[in-house]
Amino acid sequence: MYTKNIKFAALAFVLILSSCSQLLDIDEEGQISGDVLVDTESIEQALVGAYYNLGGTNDGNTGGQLFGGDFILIPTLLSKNNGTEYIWSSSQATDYLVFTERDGNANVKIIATNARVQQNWVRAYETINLCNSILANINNVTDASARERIEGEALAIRSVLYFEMVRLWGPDISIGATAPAIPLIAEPFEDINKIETPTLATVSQVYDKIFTDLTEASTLLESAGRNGTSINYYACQTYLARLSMHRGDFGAAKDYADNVLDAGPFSLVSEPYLAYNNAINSTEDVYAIQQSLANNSGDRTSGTGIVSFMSSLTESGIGQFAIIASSLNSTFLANTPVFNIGDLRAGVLSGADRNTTAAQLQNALYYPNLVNLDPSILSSAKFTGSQNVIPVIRLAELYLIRAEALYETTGVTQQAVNDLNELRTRAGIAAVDLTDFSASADIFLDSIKLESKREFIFEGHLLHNLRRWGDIVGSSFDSEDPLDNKFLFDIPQSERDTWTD
Amino acid sequence: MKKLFILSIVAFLTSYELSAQQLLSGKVFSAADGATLSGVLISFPESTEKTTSGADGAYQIAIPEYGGQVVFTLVGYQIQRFNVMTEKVLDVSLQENATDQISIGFGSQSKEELTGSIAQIAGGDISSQPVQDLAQANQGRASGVFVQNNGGKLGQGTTVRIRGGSSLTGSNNPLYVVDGVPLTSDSQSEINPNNIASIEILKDASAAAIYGSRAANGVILITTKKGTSGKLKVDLDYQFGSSQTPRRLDVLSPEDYLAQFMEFGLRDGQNALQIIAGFNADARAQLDIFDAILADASHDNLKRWAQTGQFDLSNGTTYGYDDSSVLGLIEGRLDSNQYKTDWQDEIFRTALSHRMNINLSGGSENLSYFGGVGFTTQEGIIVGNEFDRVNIDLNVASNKDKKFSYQLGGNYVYSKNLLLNNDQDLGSPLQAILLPPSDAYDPANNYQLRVRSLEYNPLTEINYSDNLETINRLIGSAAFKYRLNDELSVNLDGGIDYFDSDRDRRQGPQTLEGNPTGFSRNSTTQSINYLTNLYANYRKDIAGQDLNITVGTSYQRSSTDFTFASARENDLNFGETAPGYLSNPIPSTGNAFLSYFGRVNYNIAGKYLIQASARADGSSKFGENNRFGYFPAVSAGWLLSKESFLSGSSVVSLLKLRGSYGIVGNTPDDDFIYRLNYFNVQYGNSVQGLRIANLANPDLKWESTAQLDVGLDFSLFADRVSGSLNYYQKNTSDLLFPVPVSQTSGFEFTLQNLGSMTNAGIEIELNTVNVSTGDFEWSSSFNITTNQNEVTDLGGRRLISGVNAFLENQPAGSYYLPVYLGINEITGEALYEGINGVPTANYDEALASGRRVAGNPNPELFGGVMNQLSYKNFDLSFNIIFVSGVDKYNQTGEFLANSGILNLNQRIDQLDRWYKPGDAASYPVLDPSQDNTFPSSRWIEDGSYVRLNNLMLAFNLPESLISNWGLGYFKFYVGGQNLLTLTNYSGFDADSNYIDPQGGAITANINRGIDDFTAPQPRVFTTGFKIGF
Repeated sequence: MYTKNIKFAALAFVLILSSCSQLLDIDEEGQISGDVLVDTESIEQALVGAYYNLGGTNDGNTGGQLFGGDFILIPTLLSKNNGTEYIWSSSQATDYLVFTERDGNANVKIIATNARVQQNWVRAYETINLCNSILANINNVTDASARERIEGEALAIRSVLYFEMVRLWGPDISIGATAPAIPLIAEPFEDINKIETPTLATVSQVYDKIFTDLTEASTLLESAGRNGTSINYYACQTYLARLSMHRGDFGAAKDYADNVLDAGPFSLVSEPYLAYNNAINSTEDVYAIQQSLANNSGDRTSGTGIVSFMSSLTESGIGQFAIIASSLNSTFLANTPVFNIGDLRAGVLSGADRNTTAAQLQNALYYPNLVNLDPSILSSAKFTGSQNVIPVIRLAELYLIRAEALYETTGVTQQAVNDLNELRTRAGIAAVDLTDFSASADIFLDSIKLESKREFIFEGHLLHNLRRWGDIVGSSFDSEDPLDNKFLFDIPQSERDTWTD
Repeated sequence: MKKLFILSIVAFLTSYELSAQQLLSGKVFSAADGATLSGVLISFPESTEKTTSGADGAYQIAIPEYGGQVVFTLVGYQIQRFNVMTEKVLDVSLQENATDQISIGFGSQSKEELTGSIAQIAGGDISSQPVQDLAQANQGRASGVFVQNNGGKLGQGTTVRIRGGSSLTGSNNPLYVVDGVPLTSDSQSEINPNNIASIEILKDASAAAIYGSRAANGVILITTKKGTSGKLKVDLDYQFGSSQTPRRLDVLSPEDYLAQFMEFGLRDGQNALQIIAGFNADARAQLDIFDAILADASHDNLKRWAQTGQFDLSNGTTYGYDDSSVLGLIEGRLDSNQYKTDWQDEIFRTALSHRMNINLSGGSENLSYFGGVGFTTQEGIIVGNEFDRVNIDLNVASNKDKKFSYQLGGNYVYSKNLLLNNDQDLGSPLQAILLPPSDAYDPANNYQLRVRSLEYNPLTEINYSDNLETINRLIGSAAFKYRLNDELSVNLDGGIDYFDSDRDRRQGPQTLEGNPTGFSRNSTTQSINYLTNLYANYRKDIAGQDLNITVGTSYQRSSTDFTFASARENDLNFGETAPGYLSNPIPSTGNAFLSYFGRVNYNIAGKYLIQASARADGSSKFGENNRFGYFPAVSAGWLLSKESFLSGSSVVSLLKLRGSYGIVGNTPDDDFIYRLNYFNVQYGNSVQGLRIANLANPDLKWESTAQLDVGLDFSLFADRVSGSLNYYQKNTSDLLFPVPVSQTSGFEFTLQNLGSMTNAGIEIELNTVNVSTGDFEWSSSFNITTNQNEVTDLGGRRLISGVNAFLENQPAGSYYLPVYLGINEITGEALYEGINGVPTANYDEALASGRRVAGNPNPELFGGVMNQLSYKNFDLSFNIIFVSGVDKYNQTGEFLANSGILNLNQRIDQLDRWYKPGDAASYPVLDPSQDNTFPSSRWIEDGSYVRLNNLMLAFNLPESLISNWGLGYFKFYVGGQNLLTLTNYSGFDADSNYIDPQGGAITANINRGIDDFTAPQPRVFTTGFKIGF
């Protein structure tokens, strides 16, 4: 009896034991793990994830990086002078203060521990890792045309990021082609054992990689046309044009611009203000970040994103970026847009108060900064609501690229003058004539520069153009050279700390 | 505390009496069945007289000269004492000691047999405390167990640490096991404190190793009340409570605030004028006036100016209100002068609570049952905070002596909690104390302030939002036991823990986050956790050597589902088409544990106790290479009191030396962190996307904690003095730590096993019967624990989060801050330790020159003193708890000293600030252009306190009276909780530890000891009655 009982108990245990290991192989509903990118649907979703990051979408913790804000805001802060062109109060958004302190401080660097620099760095590489994962699994997309499109977009997103990064972290290619800039990562990370100390590619290596990839992406995307709101052939061509301008390869830049302007489905909107604050892409948006009420880079409630800082409307922003009105028509500032009377890009809404809404701004691109309520301090109306698309490439840029490229290759031509006039006449100011430049062709370049400053003011283009042009930041008696290293981002300290020799 | 202990010894000594020599004889019976009891020790502890009862229960003993107290002692029975003087015959019935058996997990042992370190709290000790959360009732009751309140709002919960935390990123909460069901939610908070039979706390490795992988933080076994056979018993109790804040902060009065307002205006004006004074003569002249006034500024001068309109400079010049140069200030001042508001009056209230319980229990010879219904409704001391709970407990058990026995139980909880904003959020209620006292709000206009209309009034948030959490929870257990014979039994247990929480939060358009359309959020959490244990017990007595073997296997599976949806609408019933609708699918989480365990107890001659146990735990939280962890433990005890040199001693009834060593484990907080995970996002208009949540770490493994414990248990003078002494050392290795990696991977950190940490301490428990004269009884229990925590190795890395850090060779979560050095008496600026120790007013330089360890948020010493007194029909109990060697970060104080841009209200002591050059003031200048209250050692304060935590005076109606009414007992009581606190801490409550509920485990572990507008524990006055029939 006794031994029988023991046997019975032993048997029971054996039964339990034998069924063991599988009991630990559990999973849960909705978990997305392991080899996920195995079909078209999931790879498409990873691509959407890349766009989500590219737009600096606020995820409850962070937001406003990359094109959701910092790629526009930080170059703007760096290329304008705090105190004469804008005011950035020192009490809030202190992570951005370091970008406002170039002037007069010979040795001020953008410190390597700056949180915004680090957040852009890690978010860019997260996005690049998603692109790399897509590219590594691209053969799991069975449909050939979908495969080409997805591959093209992944290559393009990665290239766009590398281009923006090399311009912010690396010296301008004109002076620092061989300088180490950023790591080029082309393989996805799946487990932590693959993480190693990266090597820095030189500026020209990064440019070469972008050139190769964007060229390939252009081929892959050409048949997809406008491609919804995603990165398309024309965006690739625009980035190739931008890259060629930086390289000084103006002939190529003109050809890329032709491909967008002549063959593309885009057209300028009828009035300047219509180019901004659109719920969906305007006809001149070649590529824009999509936002909605629920998914956006942030506004005053999150304290992140371009709208939060640029807008001073009670409903959307904190008006942190306060424009000194006199800087728009200055006699001494190097980069003042000196708006002509009647320029539709200079309209200021009168009678604004703290109840003013975005809808009331109508055709004004400026309004009194509603935090200061001082008529000499303005806000830009280019970013008033977080549900609007954020333009990354507006067709207007292509006209200026082509005009400048023509000037650099063939001199001032009628085509170049026409391109310039496209923007002037839309803005309601007088067209220029070929003959205006017969005495000095240089004036034409100055006209293009001025038009660019007017058209793209506070859109983040100026810093990169000044570097390319070799022009100064500030004013003639208080100037800074934007090619100086103190305008460059450092590799984040927290990144360097992980490097082993 | 030491003093109190000495007092109690004195009290005990003075009860000595002398008497004449006589003989006392009689028989000892068991109260339960009337059988005679042999081997009962009968003694007069004051003399050396002692004897044991014979086989027939009979005894005879000499009474000392002047009589005295005779004590009847038998292991397993309650001690009986009688004062005898002239009696000749005394028959005694001994009650079986219900609490002598201690749960050890998969079995029980008598106290005497224990070799591990286990603390026990009896259910009766906690049932009358007016607490929401069971853990709060355990504060100060057991050595080695530190209980800290997270905050004083209802539902904020507690932090419980047994012998210090053992993890940096994983849970530091003990494993809670309710009636055999290990909870997965780390929370005991919904259990009805009224229906606890007992709580056992398994502290050392040998006690806890049977729970293996989740035992690194100790195990708390909660046993709920069971029925007893006998006729139907009904217990009824009701308690009424009234709570208030025990403390208010001394902030500026409207008059003092106005003086600050004037100063702010002067300094702000001075700053503005300085810029243009160089080329503007008018500005220069005005600046001279400002400078002159400020050069004579003191709080008294400014206050007088604000009140009388007259500022008299020392040179005889007078400035009035209407001087055009200062008119700007006056206008603002006049605006502010109309109102007076004590914001603490607006936020705090007297809160009422009611608690009712009805329990039914009884049974027959074969079956016993218990059923209870409890209802609690409680208001918080902050307006808008409320908590309601219903508990239903059921238990049925068959006779344990049968061949087949079973026990079925269920504890159901339904609760509704009207929550307030988290402490750190904008609009958290206590932030109202920052608002100017010279302002008021307009209830008809969204509670907006009348003067400073742009400041956010937390009352707006409270009155225009709802934040309701509804919880349904069921913990059920079933245990079946089959006794094959006297030696072998097989047990099959099953348990289930179902938890469902529904949280609805609406913020109206009037609130900051809800502006302009309203913001509504629905979230649900539903978890189910089930468990099966199969184990066998084998017990054999071979010639006085007791062998006890337990082997078993266990499988536990838990899984949690979440939903979340939000919309920009002022309506919780929003649909998918609502504006701003957002609903990302949230993946469910879950885990499984498969375990094999065994334990052998070997008891030689009742003197030498040996226990060995082991558990092999497989967890789904790791990759296949590291799934199983092995957790062995050994312990031994030596009952010296059973040795011939002590046995029969009338002084020492128990003396046991014991020691243990073992290894226990801890798993990561996240369920699937070992593998590559993605999560869903939406881009633009709801296009579904994927992001990577984490990269795979296939090498991830258990944190393991090796613990050494040595202890001594003693019982002296016929159990009038008993206690224990313990030393422990816990070494945790393979800590799960967020290791920084190259961010080219897309991540800043990945979770890896890195580093080690130690906790070491001494625990002392002492229980004394101070007075026992029949009518008057007084017993005390005292416990004290020291704990030293240190992170010993992080591979040269560190982790800093806010004001806290994990640093090598420092306690976990140490405050790591720039050192505040007082003020510069010339400029009034705050000074910090700069490069090479040179004081600097530049905070960035202070940060750059390196932060210092500025304090320890982990208490080095804590404990409690419990006292029970009874005189005739009166019972009095009071508990004192104490915590020492702990620092707090007073973030509330930091804001209340905020001189900066917003010119908010301040603590009254801040008036001792710098006003003019040469002031040897305590605090820096009021600087309108910046917040000079940066995080620094300035905000570290001693968080030690002593608290009269609980007091209850009860009156038992005489039995003669109530028996006529058919009642078994009828008790009235009045009492209180948190009645008196002695502390140097200047904030609301040193017993607070704000934990960001959204922060996850790492945040909870690193951000310790912070008081961030954290509400104090309420002071509660209670009255109630308990009836049994």
